[in-house]
Amino acid sequence: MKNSLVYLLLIVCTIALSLFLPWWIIAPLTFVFAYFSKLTPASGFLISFGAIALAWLLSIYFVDTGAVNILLGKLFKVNAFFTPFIAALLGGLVAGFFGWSGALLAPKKKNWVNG
Amino acid sequence: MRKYLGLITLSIGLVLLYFLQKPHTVSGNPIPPLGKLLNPYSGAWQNAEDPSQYTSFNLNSNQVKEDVKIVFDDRMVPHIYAQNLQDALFAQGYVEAYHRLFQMDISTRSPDGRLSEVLGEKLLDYDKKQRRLGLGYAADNAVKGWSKFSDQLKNVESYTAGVNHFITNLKPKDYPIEYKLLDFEPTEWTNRHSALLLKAMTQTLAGYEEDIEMSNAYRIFGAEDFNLIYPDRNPKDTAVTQGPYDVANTSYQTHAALLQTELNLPSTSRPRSPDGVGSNNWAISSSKSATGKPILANDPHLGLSLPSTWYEIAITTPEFSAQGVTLLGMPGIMIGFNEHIAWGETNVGHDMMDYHHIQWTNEKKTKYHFDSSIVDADIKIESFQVKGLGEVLDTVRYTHWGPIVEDATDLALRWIAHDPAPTPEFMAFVDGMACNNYDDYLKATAVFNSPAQNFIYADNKGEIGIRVNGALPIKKHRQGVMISPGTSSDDGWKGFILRENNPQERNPTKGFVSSCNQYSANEDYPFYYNGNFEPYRGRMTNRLLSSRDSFNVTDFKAMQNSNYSILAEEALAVMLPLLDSSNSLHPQALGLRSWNFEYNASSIYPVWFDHWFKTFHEMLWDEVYTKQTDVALPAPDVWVTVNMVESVERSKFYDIEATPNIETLQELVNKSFATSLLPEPATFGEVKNAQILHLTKLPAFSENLLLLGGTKHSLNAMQQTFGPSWRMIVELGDTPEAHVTYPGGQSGNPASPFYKNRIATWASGNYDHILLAPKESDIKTALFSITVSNEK
Repeated sequence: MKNSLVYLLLIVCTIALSLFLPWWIIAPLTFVFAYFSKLTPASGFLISFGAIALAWLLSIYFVDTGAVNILLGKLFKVNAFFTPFIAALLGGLVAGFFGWSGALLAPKKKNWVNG
Repeated sequence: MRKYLGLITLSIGLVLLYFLQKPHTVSGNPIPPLGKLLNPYSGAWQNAEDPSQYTSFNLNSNQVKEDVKIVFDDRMVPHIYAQNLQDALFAQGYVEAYHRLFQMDISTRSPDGRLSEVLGEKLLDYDKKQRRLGLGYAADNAVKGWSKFSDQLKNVESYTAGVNHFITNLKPKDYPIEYKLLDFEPTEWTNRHSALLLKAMTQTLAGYEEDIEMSNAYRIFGAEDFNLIYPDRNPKDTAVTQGPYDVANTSYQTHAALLQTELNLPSTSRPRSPDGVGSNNWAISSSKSATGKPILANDPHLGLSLPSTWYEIAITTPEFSAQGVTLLGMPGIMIGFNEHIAWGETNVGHDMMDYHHIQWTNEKKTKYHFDSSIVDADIKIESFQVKGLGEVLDTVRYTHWGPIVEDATDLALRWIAHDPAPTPEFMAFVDGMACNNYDDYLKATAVFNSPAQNFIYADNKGEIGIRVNGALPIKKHRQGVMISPGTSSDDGWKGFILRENNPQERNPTKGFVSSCNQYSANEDYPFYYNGNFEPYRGRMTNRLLSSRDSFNVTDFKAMQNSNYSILAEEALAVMLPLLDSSNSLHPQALGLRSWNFEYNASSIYPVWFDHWFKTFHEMLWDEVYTKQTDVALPAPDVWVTVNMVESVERSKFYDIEATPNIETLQELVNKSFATSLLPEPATFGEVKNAQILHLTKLPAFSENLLLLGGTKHSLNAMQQTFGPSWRMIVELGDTPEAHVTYPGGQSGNPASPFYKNRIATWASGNYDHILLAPKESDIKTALFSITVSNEK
């Protein structure tokens, strides 16, 4: 339950904040989320990775009808279909590492969130 | 333990973030800042353009006096409706930046020697060359000259304000994709940028000289052979103007001192102007026209690029309504038409770039002999802020003549590009679009200085005309063919030919005017000039236009797309009969005998001919080509070869020096034929492999067109990367009708459906049929519109 809530909140916050803040806001965002929601290190990585990757994928399909996919595919010499996933992977990795470290660096004893 | 692991993962995260935020080079390959480029919110995906989602918007600017409406038609061509000229030019600046900002940025950084600022060290040598040629200095001089014409300068200022209105309101997420890829930001536009653009044009179109090569050749071959290999004029040429020239003979009768040089520079060290730059234009009078009104055609040949060199635009004010194309960065319309007239340009190949030999008086090369005294050189320190490297300095010496381009040579460059403009030159394309008669058009274009152009004109009252507009230096006989001495002011140009004495024709009895980069005047013209002139397209145009009494727009389209080569026709006429019995029965000889001299993409004959002719040409001039590895020598012109085979039976040049026996012409023809046979048949289109590259040369943003006909010497002068960058035909009349095409699209955004949507039409030789839209309601289908208003 907690994990799903964090996951959803992360997606919403990523999309909302990225509209006016630089793309790397996902780094402090996932760190803070993982830190305060007391995720386990594994879910700190996975939830952050998954949330940001999905947020990015959704955002990409929202803004582009395919032309940029094709262009980036040519640029990086990969199938155009995969380009949003490459982006999602990069965003996810950044988020994952910050989420992981947030979870690891959070104080162990004190319980910040009920549950 | 957990804490350490936390710090380690945090560090990995930070390193990853750093890597994604900065550009890198991995084993020589540049890697863009991937995070900036690939994130959905400010990266490349923001450059997506959904054609079903174009929406109109409003702008506020205190720079406009009254409301301006910009309507983009279904071809994405902006139609500007303004109440006065300056408001219109503000809108022009805005839409050009809106569609082509990166192109404007790069094409002005290039002459200014500022590419390494944003692209790094690999561009530093290029930048240094540009600065040493004095292009930035030239732009400074131009701006200084322009400041004397404050009334006219307002037009450039309005244009500049329009560009800047776009730039200052541009959010990083909306930067053109190239900025995201290369990781830099647009900077403010100034009037000097427009001047830089004009100088870049001068470099492309009047950046030709072979002074060092010619001096070397003169020294090596001696006067007699030099004149044979490198004659000044092709006797077969049909000049742009045929005279009579109503000019008192004011040319110097003296011959220029021909300075021999001991310089042995390899050819590769010289900055060269690109081969293949040129253009066609012609206009027929009412009597020769199927419509009973003049028809005008123009197709400028330039390096083809994406985004395209040209931007199509329409401007309407209460005074005029005009449409055509503009070079990005200059106000006005360069090639186009309005309700009454049509106009266009081709390049004038006069040599405007002469090197003078400097005699230094000290080892540090700061003082030199000039007019019987010792003069200080101006020392200019050029500073380059190289990305990733910091500041790099270069010292350039400026003399009476101009800059020392290469320190090792002691040669100073006298170049028309450096001259401060004596007139508001930018007005030629601003005032030009408002003219409705030839006298006004001549007045409007008289201000144009460089690069000199054959301005062609036609109107719906029936007038046609052509005039060289540009400053043409007055020279002694053969002055500037090779390196000139530099110790006396008498070694230089003696001012400029008065504009009314420039070569020109108005309503000639032949019923047409034309120019294709050939000589601008015939031998009766009293002023000496030399330069780089195209030997076949001019003759082809004049041959075709003289061949019939009546032409229509279909004929003109066929002419612009003609792949016929007079070079092939004339060369084969004399070379094929010289083949001996065994060679003449060879399939390649039989094929060439049946060939119609058309350089069609699907044909194999042009490949065979080109290969044979090149081999023959280089065997004939082996005396030149074998020496080129050691010393810079000019390549003999192809027409010299053809004329020689036609009229000279015996010559020592027919001998191949490397062989023990003495070859005859017939042996040379047969030998070149036998050695140039091609076993693998490939079509001309495949061999040429035409392509249109993006300014960054990135294949992903470029277009590879495999099969295109045309050659340097055919009217469709399509080479591998040079060719017809805009084809326009205008039928004058009560309402003008135009047929236009160009290899690209209106948008500079590679992700836009309008980036290269017009290439297919252009490549197949087809045109868009367009009409003026003097009223907004004339535009039947609009994509969207922009309203600029001044709401204080």
